[in-house]
Amino acid sequence: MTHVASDRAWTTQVDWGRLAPLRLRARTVAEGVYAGAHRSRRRGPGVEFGGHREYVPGDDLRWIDRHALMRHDRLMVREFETETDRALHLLVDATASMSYRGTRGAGAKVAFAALIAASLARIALTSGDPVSLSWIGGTGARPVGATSGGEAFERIVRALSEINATGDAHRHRQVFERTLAPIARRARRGAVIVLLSDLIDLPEESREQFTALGTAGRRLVAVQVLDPDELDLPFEGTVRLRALEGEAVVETEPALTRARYVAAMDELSRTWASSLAARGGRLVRAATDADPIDLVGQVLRAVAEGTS
Amino acid sequence: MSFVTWAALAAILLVIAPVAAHLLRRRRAEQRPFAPTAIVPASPPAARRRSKLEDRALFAIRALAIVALALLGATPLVRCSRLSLGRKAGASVALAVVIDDSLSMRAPGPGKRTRFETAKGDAVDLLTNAREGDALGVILAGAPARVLLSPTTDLGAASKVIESCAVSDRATDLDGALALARASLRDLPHADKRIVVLTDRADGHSDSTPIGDGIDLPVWVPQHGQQPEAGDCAVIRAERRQTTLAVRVACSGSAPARGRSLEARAQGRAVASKPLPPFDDAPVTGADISLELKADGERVDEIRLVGPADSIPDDDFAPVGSTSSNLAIAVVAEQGSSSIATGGPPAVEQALEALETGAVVRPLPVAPETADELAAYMAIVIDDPPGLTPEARRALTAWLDKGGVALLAIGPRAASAPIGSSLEPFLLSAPRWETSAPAGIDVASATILGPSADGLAELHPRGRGQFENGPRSGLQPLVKWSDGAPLLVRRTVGRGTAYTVSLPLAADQSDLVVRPAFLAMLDLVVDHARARGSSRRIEVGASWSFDDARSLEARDQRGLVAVELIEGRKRIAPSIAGRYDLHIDGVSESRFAMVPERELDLRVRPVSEVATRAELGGTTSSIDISRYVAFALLALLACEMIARGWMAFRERG
Repeated sequence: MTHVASDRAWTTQVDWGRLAPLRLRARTVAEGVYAGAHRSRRRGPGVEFGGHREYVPGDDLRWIDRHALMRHDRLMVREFETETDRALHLLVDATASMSYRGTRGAGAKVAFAALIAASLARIALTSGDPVSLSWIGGTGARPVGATSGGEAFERIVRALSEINATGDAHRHRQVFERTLAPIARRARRGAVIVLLSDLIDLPEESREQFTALGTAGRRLVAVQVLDPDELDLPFEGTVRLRALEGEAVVETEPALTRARYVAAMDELSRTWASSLAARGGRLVRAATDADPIDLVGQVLRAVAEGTS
Repeated sequence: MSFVTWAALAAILLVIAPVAAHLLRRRRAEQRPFAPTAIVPASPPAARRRSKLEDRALFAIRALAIVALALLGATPLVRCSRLSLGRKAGASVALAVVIDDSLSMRAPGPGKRTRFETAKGDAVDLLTNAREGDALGVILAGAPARVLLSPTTDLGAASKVIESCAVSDRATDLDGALALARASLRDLPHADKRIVVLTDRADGHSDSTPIGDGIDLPVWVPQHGQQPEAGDCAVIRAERRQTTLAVRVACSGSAPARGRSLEARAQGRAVASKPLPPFDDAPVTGADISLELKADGERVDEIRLVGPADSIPDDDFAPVGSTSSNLAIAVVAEQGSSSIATGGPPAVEQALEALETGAVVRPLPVAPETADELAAYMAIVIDDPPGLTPEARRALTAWLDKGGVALLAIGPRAASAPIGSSLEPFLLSAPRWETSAPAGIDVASATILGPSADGLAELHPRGRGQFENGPRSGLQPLVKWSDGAPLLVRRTVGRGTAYTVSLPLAADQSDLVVRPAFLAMLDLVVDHARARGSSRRIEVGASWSFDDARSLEARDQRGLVAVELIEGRKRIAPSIAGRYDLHIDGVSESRFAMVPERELDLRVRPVSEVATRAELGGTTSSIDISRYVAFALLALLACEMIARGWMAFRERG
C-alpha cells in the first residue's frame, strides 16, 4: 500500500528521506561520476574551423556556408573551436508538485532534484566552471548568482537545503518567465542550462520559453524528476486524487485507467523532448528511486551530446 | 417457539452485515494528493454503473442466503398454518376425502377464497401431509355422490385427481358421499381409516342427524372458523310461451331478493324487466313470474337477475327454452274402471303426481293414432286397453323408435282384444288372462324396484295376464311372479323402451297400485324417460341417456361435454346449469340443465362432536420445510457463482 503523508506536509517541508545530508550525498555522487579534466570544446565563433552543422533558427547568419548551400542545397553553418564560457545555470522547480514523495521514492522530488543539482554544481565547480542557481516557486528560495570560488559549493548547497516546495506555477504563470529572464540575459554562448522539474503543472507556454534559451550556443538539458508512483499509478480500488497545484480533483479506478495515464505521461515527456531536440537540447527522465550517480552521468552525457 | 428457534431466527439480523459492508464499500473514496492529477483520466461512468448493478445482485443473493440459513436453523420448528392429519403412533392412514362440489360451494368462504377453493386447498394440504403407505381416495358430494378416485397409495394420481376437481351446480348429497366413502375404505388393510369431509355443510338437511353420526369410521369435518353468511337467488328455469316468458326464481329467504328484478335480454340488451315479488323468510322459496314481451317474434336469449349482488352470482341467469322442453306424460286409462274408491283421477295419475317428478300428466281417452300426437309426450302409460288399432300400433312404434318410453298394463280387457287388434309393439303375441295368480312375487328377481320390492311378496290380485316370454319375444323379464312367470318385462324398440306389467292398474283388480313398489315401478319408467332424453330439461346431476345413438356430440357454454359410456349406454350428465346443444345422429337439438331448487337452502347441517376432535387433525401443525430451504440455499449459491462468472466475463470483455 502506498504511504502518503498528510496534505499539509507536502507543501511546507521537504522530505529529504535517504538523500540527506545533501552536502555529503552530493560530494559522493560527484566523485562517483567521472568528471576528469576536460577540454572546453565548444563550437561557435572562433578562429579554428570546427566543422559544419545544420542551421537552426537563431543562428548567426554570418556563419552560413554559401558553398555548402550551393553544393548540397541545405543551410549549413560553419563552426569554429574556441575556448568559451562553461557556466552552469541550474534552474530548480520548487513548486508544490515537487514536494510529492511516494513510498518507493528515496525522497521528495525536490530533494532528489536538489541532490542532482548539487552534484552537478560540484562537478562544474571542480572543473572551474561558474555555477548559478535559480528557483521556480518555493519558499526560502535564495537564488545564487554565477560563482566559481571555493565558497560557491557551500553557498549552493545551503540554498538548496533551505528550500521548501510551495507555490502554484499553474496559477501564477509569470513565475516561470520571471525566473528565465535573468538567465537569458546572463548566459552566454556555451553556457549550460539545466532545468530540474517534474514538468507537471507548468504553464503551457513554459516549454517554448525554456527552449527559446537554446539559441546563441546555449546548451539545454531538462531533467524530468518523477516519483515512481507518478510513473505507473500503482493505487488500487477507487481513489480520489487531488492535484497539488490547481484545483483538479479526479475519482478514478487505476485498474481501468492506468494504461491511459501512462500514455499521457509519456506524451508529456515526448513533447518536451521533441521541443528540446529542435534546439539541440535533451530531456532526461529521472525517477526518485534511481541511482543519482547514473542519473548525473546521463545528464553529463546529454550535455556532451548537445555540445557535439 | 423454543429458545433455539428464536436464536436461529435472530440470525436473520445478520442480514445487515452485507448491508453494512456494502455501505462501507460504497463510501466516498479517500482523497489523496497526487501531483499529476490533471492528466489522470476519470473512470468511465459505464464501468461504475456496471459495478453498482453487480454489487446489488451480489448483495441481494448474500442477504437471501443469510435468511435461508437462519430458516434452515429454525426448521422444523417453524409452524405454518395448513391442514394436517393427526396420526396414531405414526401408522399409515387410509383416507377418503369427501369434497363437496355442489352449487353452494361457490359462495364466499373464510378469507378471500370461495368455499370450494378452501376445500380444494384443504385436500391439497392433506395430500402434502400424506406419507408413503397412506391410501387416499376422493369422493365428490355433489348429487349424485360419486367416487372420483378409489383409495390408492399412488399419491401422484391422487394429486392429479384433486387438481382436476371443479365446482358444479349440483345439489348436495352428503349422506350418499359418506356411504360411498365408507364403502371405499371397507376392504383396505389399513388399521387407521378415516373419512374427511370438506364441505360447507349446506346440504338442505339442516334438521337431519349431525354429520359423522351413525358411521362406524372416524369422520373428520375440518372447521375454518365462522363462514360468512350467505344468501342466494337463482333463476331455475325460463320458458317461452309465445309472448310470455314463464320464469321460475328461487331464493334462500327474503333478503337476497330485496331490491332485485328480472331482466329478459337479447344479445346482451334488456328487452323486458320486472321486479321480483317479496319472498317469504322460508329457507327456500320459489316463485313463478311471467314477463310479457312486446311481440311474438321478439328474440330473447336469457333471463338475468339484476340489482344487489348475492353470494352466488353464477346462478343469476338462465337460458330461455320452449314449453316443449317439459316432460309430459300421457295416461290412457278408463276413468270408470281405473278410478279408486276414494275418488279422484285414476290411480296411475295420482301416483304420477305423488312422485313429484315435475312432469305434466295428461289423461287421454284412447291411445294416439298419429306420430304427431305422440311427439308432444316423452312417456305414455296405457292401462288395460282393449287392444291397439293398427294406426295406434304404427304411431307407437314410430314414436318408440325415436326414443319414447311406454308402459302397458295388461288386464282382462287387454286379454280379450277384438280381432285385428294386438298389443304390438309391447308384445308380439296376444296375452291371455288367468283368474288365479300366485300370492306374491319372487322378491330376489325384483332388485330393480329396490327395497320396496319386499312389499310385493304378498300380492293378492284377482287375476293376472300371461304372455309368451320366449327368446324370440324380445322381452327381458325384470320382475317375476313366485312361479317364475313375468310380472314386469322390458322390450327395446329402436331408441325407445316398452315396459309391460301383467297386472292392470285398477285398484279393484289388484292391490298392486296401493303398494310402494308401484311407485318405484312408475319412478323407473319416468326416470328412464327422463334419462332417454325424453325430458329436454333436467336438473344438474341427472343425466340424458342415448342408448342407440350412433353419433353423439354435446356442447355447453364452455365447449365440448364428455359423453360417458355406462353399461354400454351413452350418457351425458350436465354438471353446470345452462343450455346444451346436442347433435344426435346428425339432428341438432337444445336441452337445458337447471339448478336444483333445494340446493338454495344454505342452512348449515350440524356436525357431530366426534367429527371435530383434535386427535383427528388440525389446521396448525409443525411442518418441516428444511429441504425446501436447503434447495433455496443451493440455488442462491449457484446464482452467486453465475453472477461472479458473468462479472469476470464482463471485465475481461
